[in-house]
Amino acid sequence: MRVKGKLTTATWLDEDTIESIIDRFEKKYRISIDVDVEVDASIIGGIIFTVGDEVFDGSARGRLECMREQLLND
Amino acid sequence: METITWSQLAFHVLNILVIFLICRLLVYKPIMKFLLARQAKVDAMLGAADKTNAEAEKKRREYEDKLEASLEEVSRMMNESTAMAHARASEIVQDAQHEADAIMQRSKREIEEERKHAMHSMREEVTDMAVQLAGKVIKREVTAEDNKKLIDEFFEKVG
Repeated sequence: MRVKGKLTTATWLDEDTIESIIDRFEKKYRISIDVDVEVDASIIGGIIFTVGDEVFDGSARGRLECMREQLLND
Repeated sequence: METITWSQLAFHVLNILVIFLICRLLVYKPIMKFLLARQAKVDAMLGAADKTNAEAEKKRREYEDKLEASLEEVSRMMNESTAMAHARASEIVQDAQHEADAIMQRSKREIEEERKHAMHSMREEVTDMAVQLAGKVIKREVTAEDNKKLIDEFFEKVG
């Protein structure tokens, strides 16, 4: 089963790193993923991996957003 | 000195008797009749006056009773009106007090809402500024090593 995915990074990553990231996802969810890679400096650091409707946010921007929500909800 | 004989005396006495009888017949009886009639008239007038007086007295008492009853009614109505006015005044004062309390409570609630809203907005602005500032600093300071570390942490979290 092949699924469309998108990998957003803050800077250009080397091929091995990208392959490693995709491989880890494919192994975890036991699916094949067609990944489009996109560089978006606004995420500051880390990655955002989108598979189908699911979004896995591991970016520095995401962390800052979480921090902002926590500060506002405290 | 002239002397009176018994015959002359008898004549005089007879004269006096005749005069007395004539007077009695011609003067006394009509006068008495007139006086009796006058007395009857006066009695009738006095009776009528008494009756009128009695009626007047009765009417006076009736008027006095009516006047007293009217005064009592007026007094009762004035007391009732005064009591009603006092009750109404108390009611108005209570209503005004309740309204004032409600306005005060509403104002307090609105002020508290405004305060919370202002605090939230201020907190949001400060937080946004802090996060933006942190983002700029991190963006400037982040290295390839940091980026790799973030990716590793991400996979640790995802599993």
